[in-house]
Amino acid sequence: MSDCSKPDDPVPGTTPTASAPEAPGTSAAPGGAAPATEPAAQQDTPPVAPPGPVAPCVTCEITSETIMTQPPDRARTSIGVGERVSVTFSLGDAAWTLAGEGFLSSPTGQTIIYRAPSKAQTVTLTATGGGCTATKSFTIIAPTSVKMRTRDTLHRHDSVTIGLHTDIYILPDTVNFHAIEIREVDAALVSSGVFLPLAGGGHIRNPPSGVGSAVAATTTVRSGFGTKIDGIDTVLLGFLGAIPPAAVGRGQWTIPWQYALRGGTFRNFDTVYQLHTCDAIGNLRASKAHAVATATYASPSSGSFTQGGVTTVL
Amino acid sequence: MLNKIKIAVTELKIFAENQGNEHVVNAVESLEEVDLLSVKPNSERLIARHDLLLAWCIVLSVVEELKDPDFDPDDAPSLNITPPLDSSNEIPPKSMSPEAQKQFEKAIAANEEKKALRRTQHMARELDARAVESAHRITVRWYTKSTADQNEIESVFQEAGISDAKRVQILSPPTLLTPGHKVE
Repeated sequence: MSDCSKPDDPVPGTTPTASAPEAPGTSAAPGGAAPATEPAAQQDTPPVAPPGPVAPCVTCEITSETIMTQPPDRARTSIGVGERVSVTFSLGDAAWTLAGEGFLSSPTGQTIIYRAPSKAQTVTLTATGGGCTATKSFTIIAPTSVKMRTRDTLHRHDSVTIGLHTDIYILPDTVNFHAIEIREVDAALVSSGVFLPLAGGGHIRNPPSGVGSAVAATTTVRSGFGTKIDGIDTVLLGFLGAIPPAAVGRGQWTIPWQYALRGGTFRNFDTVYQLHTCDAIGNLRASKAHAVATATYASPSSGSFTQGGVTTVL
Repeated sequence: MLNKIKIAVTELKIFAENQGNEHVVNAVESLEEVDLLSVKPNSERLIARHDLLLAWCIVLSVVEELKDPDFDPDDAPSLNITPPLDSSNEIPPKSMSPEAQKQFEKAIAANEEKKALRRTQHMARELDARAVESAHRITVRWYTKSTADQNEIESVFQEAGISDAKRVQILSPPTLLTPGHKVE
């Protein structure tokens, strides 16, 4: 992903000669932190030709480190939309250019910050300095799908009410989506059998309309799940009053999900199916984005839920 | 003072006057963009390292004030607020009385307030981790073990009012297990 070209010009040296404080450190980092190699920029004297046969342009490079500490591989070149990465040119001061979208914190300097745009794409950064040019490409990753994890099961004894609370994550887990917000688009329930009386209801409002409010992502990335969203989803369908007897039934919402960088334009990135079923002998199941809850019609009541500020104990 | 540090200081001043959290974020991002490697000559860099470490320490003091010690990462807001059940026996309910409508709107406002408060808490913990890491790297990369350098670090800590606990974090080897980052 990183490449360095050899120029026709005489190559400058990289041996530090400065009297500035020096201490160990090997990784590129923001805020004046340690560069990937001994900083040529610490020189107070003009560069001189290096000893030996290896010219700097052969070994010069751009190193990078993500600002986010999760996922743990901070040298990764796949970064999430809106993520920021510190990039350092190994030969000291450089002029930076960007092919693709995003933002550079400065057009010059040894270490600068690149901020990824809101859309997936591949971008290439070029650093030119000390008579050499290096390039490094980054793959900008947009959210691809939603993955949920069951927190608890919601069920009322002797009813077809079935649901769950879930934690919400955004895949893939190889990047950090801390800069995004997500929201659901309302949709109408398609149902049959025992759930037919509920047909057409929205999962946010009734009748369905508009979108839910945006919820922010956290900086936590869980392996196999992705970036955690700071919100809990209540996945529930059923009856609490005049309860129909157990019978075959199915209810499904097909829900578009959208993401945006904070304050930006929302884009669809996944369609999530929220499915509730009951079979002829009263086996109940609810599922959404890989999270599942099961019970039987006669299972003991479990859980509580809050709708419109009112908590109902099942 | 380097321009990026000046910008950060200005953002922190605006925050102190207006309490807009985005100003703390702007300050942190501006400090992260400081390129000490490119500061010349060395005498200028010595000044810049002091300014930068001091600015990071001030950020840490500001962020500490923002943190709610009772913050519970698991007590997340609702993704959506759905209409109250009212007298309905159906989930989702098909109708809403005017009273239920009022209750619904109140619940939406409460959830939005919770989201905003939690956003601040998540932000504070994230910025704290970034500031600790950056300050630590400055002390390691740009200061020697000499008495003069160590005294300068100490004076910066005192000037910024850094707590003993934070002082230990800054001077300790960095770890990915930073405060507020729940391990899952």
